[in-house]
Amino acid sequence: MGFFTDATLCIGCKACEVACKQWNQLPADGYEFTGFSYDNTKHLSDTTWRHVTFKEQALEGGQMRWLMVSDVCKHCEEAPCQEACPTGSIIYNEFGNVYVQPDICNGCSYCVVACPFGVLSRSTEDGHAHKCTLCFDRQRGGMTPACAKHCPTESIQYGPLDLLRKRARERLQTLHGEGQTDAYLYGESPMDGYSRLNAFFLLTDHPNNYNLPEQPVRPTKGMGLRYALALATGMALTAFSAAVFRGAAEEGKP
Amino acid sequence: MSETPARRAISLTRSGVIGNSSPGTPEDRSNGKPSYYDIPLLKASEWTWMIPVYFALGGLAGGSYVLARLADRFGGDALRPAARAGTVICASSLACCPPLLILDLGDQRRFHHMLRVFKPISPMSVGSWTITAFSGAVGAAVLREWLGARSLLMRIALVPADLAGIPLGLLMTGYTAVLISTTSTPVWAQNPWLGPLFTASAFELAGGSISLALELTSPSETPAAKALKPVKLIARVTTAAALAAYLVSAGKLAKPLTHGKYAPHIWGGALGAGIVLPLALETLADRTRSSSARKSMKIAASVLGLVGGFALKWAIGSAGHISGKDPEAARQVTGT
Repeated sequence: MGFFTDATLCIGCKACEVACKQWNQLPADGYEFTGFSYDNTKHLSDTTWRHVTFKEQALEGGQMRWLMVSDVCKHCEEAPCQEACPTGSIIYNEFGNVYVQPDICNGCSYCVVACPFGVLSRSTEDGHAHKCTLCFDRQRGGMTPACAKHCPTESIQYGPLDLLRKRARERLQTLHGEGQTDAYLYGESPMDGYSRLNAFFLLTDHPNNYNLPEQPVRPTKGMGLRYALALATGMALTAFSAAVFRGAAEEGKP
Repeated sequence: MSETPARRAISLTRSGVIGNSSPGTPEDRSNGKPSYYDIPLLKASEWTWMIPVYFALGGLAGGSYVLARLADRFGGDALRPAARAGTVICASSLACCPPLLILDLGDQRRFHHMLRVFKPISPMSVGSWTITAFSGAVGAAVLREWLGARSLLMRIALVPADLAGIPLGLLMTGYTAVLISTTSTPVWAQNPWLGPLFTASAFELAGGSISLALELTSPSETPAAKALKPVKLIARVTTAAALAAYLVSAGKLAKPLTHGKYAPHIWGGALGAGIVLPLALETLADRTRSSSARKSMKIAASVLGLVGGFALKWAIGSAGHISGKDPEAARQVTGT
């Protein structure tokens, strides 16, 4: 199961943020006023699992437009956080979603630096990493995740991935047919070596304008070579030292 | 991605149009390039000072173990003091590591969850098991120094301990580099030269600290101290080469290390105190006739080497805090 979030339908109402916080009993993030747009939560965190990016964009000829999308954990098919997690706390659950088991996490915060989307952070309350669970509890009860349930425009859609991907491609065709040729799907198919995202998006501008990476990189890519280079250096220094010490022993003999 | 009207439009957007430069709000520094108000795209490392210190101490433990066991196996009586000093340094630096690692956790009571599973794909899991198994090998080395190697049982037990311990010791020197390079933090991400750098630096730290121990405990230059000279030299040369390779391949992403807050640690610490000054002092010491002056120069060289080795790990470990918050660096590593 996954999410399909359609930026062309988002009206920036933040019902998803509120519903998420209420259902998951997440604390407020304070009363910070950013002043640069209607976005005051700024990014995803251990206490913000849905975040509506809200960019005011100046166009040619003095026109303005709003770029809005509800950002969320991407539930990567091959998730760097899951690979990094040393305790086995981060797993794929029976719905295929990336889930941090709160009773296992010991707060090493390796997932925080592993995630190429900056989704996870460590709670200052309990010291554990938290992120979107895709409403694991609601799913088990046969319910729709809180954000998708509350989205008034169906910008956030929840369902089986095959269906969502099909629906997304159809939506894209419709938009292109209507002349909105800048619409494209982000994460619906693999991005040059990076796995598909089980929470994927339909966007209309450069990913960086939604604070998404243009080309996410899987941190474990090339890890074998990095181990090999470190160990080769160590072995060379070991062999050299052994030879030097042997020479010194020979010299020391009468 | 293809050129679209919206993308052309944003390329014409200047920072002043949408940016808000009042205090406390992020300015749009992206010069018209696509960005989201320059809010960090990634999350920066949350590791405290304990982790860079562990990088240095864990490396020192691994390196001094390897040098001590090699001295014991191949060095005969001449290198006995080096084997003994190396084992003591290894055991004492290793003893500091678990507290540092555990205190940095968000939930310290769950430290043992690190050994709940073994996951080769996770360098931190590999590291947790490495440090655990390595402690066993270090225990065997300590017993050998304590009880001597006269008994047959001891000599037989040392064979598997060394065969496992030396690869584990090497892993201790280098896995931390693989760990940080297997992240999304731009200054570390994917860089293959961090491993050689951390390993060579660990040998440099180990050689320097064993030399220091020998200089402080024996009145004149021992054969053991003499044998360590070429080892230290090759470790320093390798460190310098790996540091250069790392900084060059990281390019602009290495800015926090080459120009920013940690530039003094790299240029003055790792390169100056860690490599250039010890080499100069030791060369000078060999040409000095007064034995007391010679000795103090060598002690100074060893101490400076240790300072340099720690500065290197401190700078690289701490640079993640800056690099992870830099939206420009994040856009650079994830750009196409």
